[in-house]
Amino acid sequence: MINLTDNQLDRYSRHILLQEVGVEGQEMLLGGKILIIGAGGLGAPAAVYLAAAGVGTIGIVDNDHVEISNLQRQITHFTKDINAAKVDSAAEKMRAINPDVKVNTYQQYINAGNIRELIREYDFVIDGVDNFPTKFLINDACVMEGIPFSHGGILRFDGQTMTVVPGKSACYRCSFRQPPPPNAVPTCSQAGVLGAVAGMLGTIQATEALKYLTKTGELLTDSLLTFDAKKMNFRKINLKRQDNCPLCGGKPSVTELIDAPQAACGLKTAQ
Amino acid sequence: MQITVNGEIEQLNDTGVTISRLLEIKQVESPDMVSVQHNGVFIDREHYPTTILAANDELDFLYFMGGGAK
Amino acid sequence: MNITKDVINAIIDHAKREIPYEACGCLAEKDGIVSHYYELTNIDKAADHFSMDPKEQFAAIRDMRGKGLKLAGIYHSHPETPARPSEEDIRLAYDPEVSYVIVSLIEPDCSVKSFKIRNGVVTMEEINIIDHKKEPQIKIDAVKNCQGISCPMNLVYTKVELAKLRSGQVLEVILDDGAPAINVPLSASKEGHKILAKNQLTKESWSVLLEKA
Ligand SMILES: [Zn+2]
Repeated sequence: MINLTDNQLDRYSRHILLQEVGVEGQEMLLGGKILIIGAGGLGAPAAVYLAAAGVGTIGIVDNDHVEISNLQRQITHFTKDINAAKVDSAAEKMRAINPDVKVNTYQQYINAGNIRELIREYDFVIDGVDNFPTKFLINDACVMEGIPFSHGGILRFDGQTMTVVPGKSACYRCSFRQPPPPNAVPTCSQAGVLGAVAGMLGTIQATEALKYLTKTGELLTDSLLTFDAKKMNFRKINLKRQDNCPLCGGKPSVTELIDAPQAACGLKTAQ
Repeated sequence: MQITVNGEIEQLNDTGVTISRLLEIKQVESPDMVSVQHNGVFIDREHYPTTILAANDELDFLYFMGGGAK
Repeated sequence: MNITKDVINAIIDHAKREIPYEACGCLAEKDGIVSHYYELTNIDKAADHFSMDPKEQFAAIRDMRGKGLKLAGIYHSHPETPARPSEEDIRLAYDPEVSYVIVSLIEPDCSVKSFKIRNGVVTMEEINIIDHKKEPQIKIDAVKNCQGISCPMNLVYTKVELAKLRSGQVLEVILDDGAPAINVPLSASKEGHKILAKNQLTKESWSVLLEKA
């Protein structure tokens, strides 16, 4: 048992007060390790809440640098951070929020060659990337390594998310099979997104990670939560593991990771 | 005939409606960006033209959604 | 005035023994709770007034000093009248700081009331009876003093202490009067812990015994 200092008891008092979290849950958070892939629209709000929550080790992966167009939603990056590496900008804010947190930064692209080794060090992964080949790569690597993760996607005013517990619940491929053809994807720069919608989704993903670490409640498994912020309609679509899933089904055809060809917007993580 | 699409009840006047036809009726803009679940079962894209809907079927359109916009 | 149940019972008993005369005596406190009493002789031996034996009175005061107690009040009984100060009681009240406790034997269940008398003005004060006997021999495994710690941190500290115990062990938490004494046991019980006892210690503080779920 970690002995929380008086300062930590104050800092985490609102967690400790929760019956489902309590002292034990806070200790689990301080001992927990979460990897955020993508320091963008989804990864940034998730990073802020996970750091504030006292997750002991947070890894953040992104190869990009901060651009002014990111600042409308990627809340870890400030105007002064333009041109800084996104991982450094995000890490600086996380450490400023909570010095208890150990932040590991990985300024790199993730690919079939490095992802498995990277995620193996963590308890839970947050998918905050913007392109489908990388989303499938995260799904495949997490299922192969048996590491649970939260999928998240946003577009304009819409969001979707699901949590995958490998071997137990439906994976992303169970329902989506393979990346859409590159020309079918609305080009990243043309679609647009309401900044706060990214925050809604990133905080849902952070909530799932915190639930997982504290063993609280029921994870968003075997269902896809979708919402339309224009009408503020939320819907949970029941999913189940598909026996013909090419990854987690009975006769898998996806047995190793491959780097898929990229869509027009490139292999940029974390928008 | 009554079916449920994305959680909402819809009336189909014709019989023999396929998933391909339903995507047209629902005016899905980019069918390539939709994954279809028919009574909880994933349907391969190649089977859309041959999968015929029956009364009380439940269909969910799952849209591909990525990260934010650059 | 905070007073133990033992003292209340004893002075009622004393009053009954002196019938038909008025009984009288002194009350002594420590840490804001009246926990001792001294039966004195009513040298008037009358049914409608009393005079305390001065020698016994001084002996009582001396005993209090020796035990670290403080004079808290004077009690006497009204065998045939209600529990309120008579004109003579008011006239003879010499100390505005002490409580004048009256045991009436005509009212049902021998009512006991307490008053402060200052310059002939009588103010009734609340009597808070503390029953230490309610929780005989509960083994306390840990004590946490949360006095001066406001909500919700007092609950946070309580939960931290409970987390250190095993199921069935008992934590005593000392809480401030008011919202803390009400809310902390309530919240702990909602989480499944059992409230074994709750006692007011002083005007400002409470003891709560919690058995870990
Ligand atoms: Zn699968």
